[in-house]
Amino acid sequence: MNAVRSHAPFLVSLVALTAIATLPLFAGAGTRDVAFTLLSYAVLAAAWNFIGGFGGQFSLGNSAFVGFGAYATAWLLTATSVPPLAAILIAAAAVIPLAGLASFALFRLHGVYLSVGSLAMALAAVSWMENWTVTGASQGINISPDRSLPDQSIYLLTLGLALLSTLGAWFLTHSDFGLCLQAVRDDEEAATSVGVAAFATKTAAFALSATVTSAMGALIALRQMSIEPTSMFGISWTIKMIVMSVVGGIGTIWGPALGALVVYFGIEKQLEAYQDVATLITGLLLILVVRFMPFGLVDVLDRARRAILRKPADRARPQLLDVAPRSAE
Amino acid sequence: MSAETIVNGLLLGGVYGTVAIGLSLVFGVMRLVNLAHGELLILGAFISYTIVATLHVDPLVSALIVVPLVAVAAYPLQRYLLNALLVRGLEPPLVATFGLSLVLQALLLRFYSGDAKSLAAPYGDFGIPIGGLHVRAIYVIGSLIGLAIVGVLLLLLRRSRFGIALRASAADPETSGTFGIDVAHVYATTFAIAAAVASLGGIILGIAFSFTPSSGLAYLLKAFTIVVLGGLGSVTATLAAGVALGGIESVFASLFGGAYRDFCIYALFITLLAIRPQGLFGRRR
Repeated sequence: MNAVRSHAPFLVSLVALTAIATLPLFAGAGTRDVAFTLLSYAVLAAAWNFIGGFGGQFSLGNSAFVGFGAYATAWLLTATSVPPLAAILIAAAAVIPLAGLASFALFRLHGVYLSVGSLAMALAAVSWMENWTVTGASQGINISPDRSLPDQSIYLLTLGLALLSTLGAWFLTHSDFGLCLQAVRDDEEAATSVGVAAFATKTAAFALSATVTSAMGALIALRQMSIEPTSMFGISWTIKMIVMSVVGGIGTIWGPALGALVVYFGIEKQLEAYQDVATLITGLLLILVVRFMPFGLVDVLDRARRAILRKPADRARPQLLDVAPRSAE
Repeated sequence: MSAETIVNGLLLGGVYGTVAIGLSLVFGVMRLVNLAHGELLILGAFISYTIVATLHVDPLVSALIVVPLVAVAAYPLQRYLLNALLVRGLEPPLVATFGLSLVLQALLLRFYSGDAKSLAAPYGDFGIPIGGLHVRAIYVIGSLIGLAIVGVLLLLLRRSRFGIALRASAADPETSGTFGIDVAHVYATTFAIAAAVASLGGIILGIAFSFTPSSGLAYLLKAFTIVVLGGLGSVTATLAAGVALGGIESVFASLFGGAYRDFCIYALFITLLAIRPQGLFGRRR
């Protein structure tokens, strides 16, 4: 009973937000377009947060999984007669061995080496795809309209994925696996010494992140119908994921979604005609949040709520972005 | 694959090495990974572009204004933003430099648009014969400038009071502080020097190739590859690694075609990292 009560606020928020998010299904195509973009960013940021936030592995390579999902789906829909829904599932599953393979190189690395190594992987993927004739090189692939899904179905699937990724973050906050992952993040040596399989844990979280990202990439491809390497494999996806996660609150359940709302809907959408200004403001916001709000906007809101309700803080603050002071090397 | 291609590649590598020195210096002294390094480099090229257009001077002469300007702009970034974040671990300063790179890119896009620019110099497309090989003059000039920078930095690091303070701060910032070294100032000066060298490298690359506000990223990755190849703690090794990368790049380009050149460099980088997970970054302190 106690357990139910302590999770009630989360469940209520989740149901309420899901209900609100179904409204664009009945709205015009323009509104649905904005809602789809917002949800897709929330999903991508949440998926990055699995490995970057809960796992503390600051990946700069997640954009490659967006591209993988998009290309796998587009290729399946043009070269085979697989139905769209199956194509999405295949794209989401097929990325797992790839992420596992990448793990062998990446999780031998620590800290910034991992970040830079994953960035190199993402850039390698872009330059490979720009030349690979199987997927149309820099021309990309066009999905024929009769092979795609209706607008509303894609939106509904995206909403489902957003729901799944939120539950995923909830799982990583409360499950044993999530606890292991956070232990590896906070102190890998200590976690290993009490029996946590650090490499396997990180790899599993990375695969989870990759699967959700790839599925989202598949949905983006279905919606755009025409895809090419620079936009699908572009580093800008990773930039968005990280900016949104950090601004909202890294390693929290709602942080990435809040970040997506603020950064996409609050800044980018409102300054659509002035993209450079939007990027400028986003960059400044990122610097300000890192400097003055190390736990993101979620934490700021939480503290404000507690101050108003005069409640004491009841849980330890998330650890990332606030590691112990640098030890003398 | 001709000797000419390789010699040109090696000389271009000298320019890459120059660009990587700042990244290596900042990482070696402060353990800071500067993701905005590429943008600082491109910033140098763009400021030079403006000076060349208004004062009608040679791009290399414009360096006399560009380099101090970038250094002065970079100093407070480290002193008042990044220093405070360094004590909080690796990620916060990384994210902050990420934000800086976004801000710089956006500003460049605002003022210069996304069109490709290049710095016009009489020797820009000029070739000079060296031992019967046709070599691009700007590569030779760039490599010579790189050598000069290495010389100056070596003197600075080994012979000056600042050099002693820098090496002490790198080895143990806390103890250095108690001995009266202004570590915050040393860090900020190091960052300013790194940015200054990067901007000079940017001018040379701007003469050799066209550039846009988003050109920084590719150079950043090249610089990282060089730092991993060359190890930390030695500017000479960084320059040498740059030359090596230039050579490797030209061999890859002629073996696999220009299109796969970048892919090969990234693959090489990942392989290097996978073989030596701690990085080839020199001796561990």
